[in-house]
Amino acid sequence: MESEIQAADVGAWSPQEYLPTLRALLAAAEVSDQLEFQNQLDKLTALREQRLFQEIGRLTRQLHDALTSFQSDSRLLEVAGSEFPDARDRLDQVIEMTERSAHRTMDLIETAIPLAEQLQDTTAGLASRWQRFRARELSADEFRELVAEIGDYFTATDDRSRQLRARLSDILMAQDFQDLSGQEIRKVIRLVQDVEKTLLNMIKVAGRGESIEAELTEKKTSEETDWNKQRVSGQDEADELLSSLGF
Amino acid sequence: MDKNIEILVVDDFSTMRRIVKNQLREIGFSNIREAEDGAAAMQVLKSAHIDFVVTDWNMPNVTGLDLLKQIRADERLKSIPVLMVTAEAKREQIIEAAQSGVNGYVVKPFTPQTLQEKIEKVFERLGG
Repeated sequence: MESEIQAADVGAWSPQEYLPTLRALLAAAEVSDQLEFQNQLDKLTALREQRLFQEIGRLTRQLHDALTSFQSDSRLLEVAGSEFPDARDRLDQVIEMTERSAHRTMDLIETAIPLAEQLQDTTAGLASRWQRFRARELSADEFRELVAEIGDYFTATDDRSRQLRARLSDILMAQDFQDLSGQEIRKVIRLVQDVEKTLLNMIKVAGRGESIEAELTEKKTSEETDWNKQRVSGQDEADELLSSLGF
Repeated sequence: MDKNIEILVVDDFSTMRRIVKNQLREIGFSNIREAEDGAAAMQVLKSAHIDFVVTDWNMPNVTGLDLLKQIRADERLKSIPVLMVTAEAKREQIIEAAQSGVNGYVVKPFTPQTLQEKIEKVFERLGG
């Protein structure tokens, strides 16, 4: 902070600082006062040298700052040494977690589908006989059979819907990966932001801060627009493009 | 469309292979094999009879596009229809796939209806 203020002071010099000396120099020249002219000229040179030394001092300070901040930025070491591998592990875990959940969900669905199909089949079979009963087409024996089957149907349906319900709630539970993987991904995002900031700071200290930042922003915006322009929005646009290619 | 054809599903994510496989079964196909990338797919293609390939694009080792090119460059395999099922939705990629001889292109995420439609279209065009 201190060096910044000093640098700002040094930077804000004005040619007007030279005016009194220049006037005295001019006056001495006009009256041909050789001694005075020599004195004022020396003073002018001293002034110029002082500015030069100040400038060199500013650059030296900047270099010193850059070097110390580079050395003291153990953050980079941490990042490269342990946090990047850690982030990689986290992302691997996310893949594992999502994969496990997806398989668990599909397992449950695959066992639930036959249950639903059985329900559908038994109901359809009973319904057709129920129609015949309503149309008075069933014999007494067939009717007794139907009544017994309806009794079984109630028990089986109760059992199957319980099982279905249990599968559905297990499917619900299998979605817990979203929360957990979200937390891991967020940690990695924070690390990436951290690294971005550290890198930008280093560039700033090296004295190219503003131009680089402007360059980056410009690049980012133009890349975003390109990305949007190049991508199709979905199957319909893909089909359109393909049909224009003769598909 | 013959539902007994041999189909090879290529994707590096086992979950995606499973989803595609389930949807193919739903459509009525039951002879389905799997490979986890283009290199593994080529091995299956060279050792077994495959009638139809459904492949992802972005995979390690050999990508779906490379697989497509390898299939088209192989005398024995070049007439096998290939359907690309992928999240890669850049225009230039779709164009590149088309130019490399893809038979259909499904953008992820997709519905079973879309998959069925595209598969039917592939066989329709081949039949006609």
